[in-house]
Amino acid sequence: MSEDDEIVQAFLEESRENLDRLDRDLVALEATPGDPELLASVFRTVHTIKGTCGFLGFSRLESLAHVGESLLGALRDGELAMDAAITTSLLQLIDALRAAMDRIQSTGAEGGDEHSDVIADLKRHLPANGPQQATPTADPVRVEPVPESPHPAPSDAVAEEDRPPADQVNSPIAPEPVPALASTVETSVRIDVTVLDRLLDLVGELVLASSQVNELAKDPPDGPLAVPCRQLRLVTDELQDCVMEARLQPVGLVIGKFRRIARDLATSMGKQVVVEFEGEDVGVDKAVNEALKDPLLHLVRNAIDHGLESPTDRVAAGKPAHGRLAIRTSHENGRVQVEVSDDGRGIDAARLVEQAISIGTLTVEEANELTRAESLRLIFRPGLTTKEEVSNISGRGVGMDAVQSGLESVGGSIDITSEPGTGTIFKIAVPLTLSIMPVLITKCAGQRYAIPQVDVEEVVHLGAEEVPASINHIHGARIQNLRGQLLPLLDLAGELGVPSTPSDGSLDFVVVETDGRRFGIVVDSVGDAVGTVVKPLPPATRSIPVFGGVTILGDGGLSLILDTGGLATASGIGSPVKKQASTMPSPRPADATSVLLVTSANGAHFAVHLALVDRLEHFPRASIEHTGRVDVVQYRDGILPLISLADVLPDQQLPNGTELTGGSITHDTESIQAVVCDSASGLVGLVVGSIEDIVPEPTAVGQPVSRRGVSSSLILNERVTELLDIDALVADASVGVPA
Amino acid sequence: MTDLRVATFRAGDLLLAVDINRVQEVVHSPSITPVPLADPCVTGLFNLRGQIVTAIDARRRLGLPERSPGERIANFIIPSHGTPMSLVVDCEGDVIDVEGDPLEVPQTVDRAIRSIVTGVHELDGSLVLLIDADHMLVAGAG
Repeated sequence: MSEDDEIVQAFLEESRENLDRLDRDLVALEATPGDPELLASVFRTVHTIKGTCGFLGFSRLESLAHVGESLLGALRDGELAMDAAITTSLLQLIDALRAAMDRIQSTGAEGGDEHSDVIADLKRHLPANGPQQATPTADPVRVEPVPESPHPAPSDAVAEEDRPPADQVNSPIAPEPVPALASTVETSVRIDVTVLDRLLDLVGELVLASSQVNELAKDPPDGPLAVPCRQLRLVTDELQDCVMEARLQPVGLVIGKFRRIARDLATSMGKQVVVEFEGEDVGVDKAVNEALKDPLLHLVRNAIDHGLESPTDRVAAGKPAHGRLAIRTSHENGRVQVEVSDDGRGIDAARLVEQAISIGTLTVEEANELTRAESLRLIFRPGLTTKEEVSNISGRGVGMDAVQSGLESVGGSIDITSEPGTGTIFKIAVPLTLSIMPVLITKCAGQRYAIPQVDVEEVVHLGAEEVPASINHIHGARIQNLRGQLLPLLDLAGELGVPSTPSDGSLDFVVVETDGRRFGIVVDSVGDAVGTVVKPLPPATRSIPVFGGVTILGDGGLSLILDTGGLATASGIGSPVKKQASTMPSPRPADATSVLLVTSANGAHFAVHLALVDRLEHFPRASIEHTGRVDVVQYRDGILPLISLADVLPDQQLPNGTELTGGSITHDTESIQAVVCDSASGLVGLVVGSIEDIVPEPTAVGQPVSRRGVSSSLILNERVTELLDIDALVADASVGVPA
Repeated sequence: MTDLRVATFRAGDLLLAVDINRVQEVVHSPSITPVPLADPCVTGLFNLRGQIVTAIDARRRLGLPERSPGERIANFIIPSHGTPMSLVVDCEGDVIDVEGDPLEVPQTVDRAIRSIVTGVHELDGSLVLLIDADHMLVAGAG
């Protein structure tokens, strides 16, 4: 690259930043028209661009900038008042400048575009023959009779003759007040990200070496090395923090652009919006900033297109004509939180539910179970939109699911709250940086494996004596009954094909949730949570789906980082059961209805909708009380009626099945296994022989009802299974409603 | 091809050699982290001054019998395609100069070896197999 090219390159980079700032300042200026500091800043920026264009010989760009400068000068000097039309013209000027710069970047020349339309548009606003002409109000100190730009556009020259005083006021760069200047001076340099990455690597090694030196210096404890070593460690730690910080950039770099986008969108749709920003200086990793861009853009568009009403509707609803869109960024628990809120019409949860049912991602029964918050979350399912008509801006029903998956791919999350008529708030949380990941170190077969903290829900240790009571074996897989919720367990050693370490019968596992699947990873032991620099796996090992990367730990050793999603997929855990694949509808979300498979005491197979299952409990046989026709146990400060499946639904193949007699729970064990269900008349305990499995409910319609208490019979896991109708069972057993 | 300086090493009962310019250094006992489910030729990863090095076992790559546990090994650090790799060998030998054009690899040599060995030199009555380092260090291609 020649020296000239370098200068042009530097000019382009600098100008792009300047243009971004202009976008921001102009929109702000529209809100606070007379703000002298903003006006001065805008004027100065345009002037700088004009000056550099002239210096580099881009004469057409220069004349374009010149007209803008004239207009801004008139604004600054109070000859004109800022309004929406002028703002639009100035924004168009910036677009034209930006387009011209792109052309210079790609072709090296500014091209032949005279920008006459933009120039004419700008000139329209100039006070060509107004009374201001005769009495310029500018501060005389600012007026410097500097010659006009050397390449004025022909039409421009005529205009200048018409109004020399105004131009003389506008064209020169005025000596600005010093304080305003100081605030805009930037003290930054550009550094290649790879250099920063290498710095981070080296600092990591330095930290390692420093801790090794510190180990050596401990003997003797107060030796001559003790003080310098402590110093060394302090400085290295601080250095590490600094290098980490150097990789961060203000989130405003991305969200600052939304000022302009929000304004343009609102204007094009005849809406009025005030955009409020908070926390634009919050620093995030460049990669995180990139990852935030599209989801946030989508939310901003949605808010303006769907959320905000037209000014007349707003006034009619008793709201100010101006809609409000607020983007607040803050640090929260080591994560970056971005809140996008509007005061628009809010989201109609009922409509979302209706739509979800109509496109088949939700059943009516499911819909009845949904809380309002859950209904709102339907917006993240594919194919849903609340907009009646599709506009060219949004409303095609693609997007919110992409927003969610985009955020999740970087370890982020999104949540929604909305009140009809009041507005909608989206809360996004993303990690500060993608390269430093908090992980939980676990041990398995003598090696350390790191689990990303973002996936970790909790860590569970079960003593040897607790294991038999809370672990069920289902088809050889272990399922843990964790506070009433069934949790499949995955044996890490088995999954990785490494020899498992013999244990004393106790069990350690890490509960993780990933892609809507929740399971426990059984390890030998669970260690500390540490922040680590994630490195990609080397090529020879990259195709292993259960690992997401590798990291260097504090002692210099390595730890592979588990990809919990890959682990779940590889093991088939939590995913739709493979055998059922053919009966599963294809676009089924991960949290689709599942059924709990149980057997009755005499071995018949039944299924219960998981949504109805409250908890799984063991009750000591001694605690069962007989009250008239039904058996009950004391449960959660109340009385829980028990229904034995073996009794009320005797196996039809067995002629000696007993009729419904009540009070005849017969088992030979010390305790009974009960599925506590939520029925229309309160909680009820279904006494079962064993818990078998959780499988997705097949959508294929089962055989019609064969008997009371059963809603249909299905083929599940290649066995005839009767789907229970809990309410009918309860009614028939006349167990009544416990208080 | 004449006058090539090579580093020799042993794998099983074979005497092999690699262009000395490819060998960055020899490391003796790094703490290896195995990678379960990886190609069997990958013995694991280790940390070399902040860089993640992939260790490829020469014996497994050549289809030779496993070495017994506790046998001495050496790691030839050989960057390949921009990635730091380590070739795990039985023990490093001398650095020698080989002269003259190499002999062709006999067709009788095992296919797995023939795809990696580029030529054969005779040295004091024994054969030295010259390897293509990049080909040797590709896991799972054998």
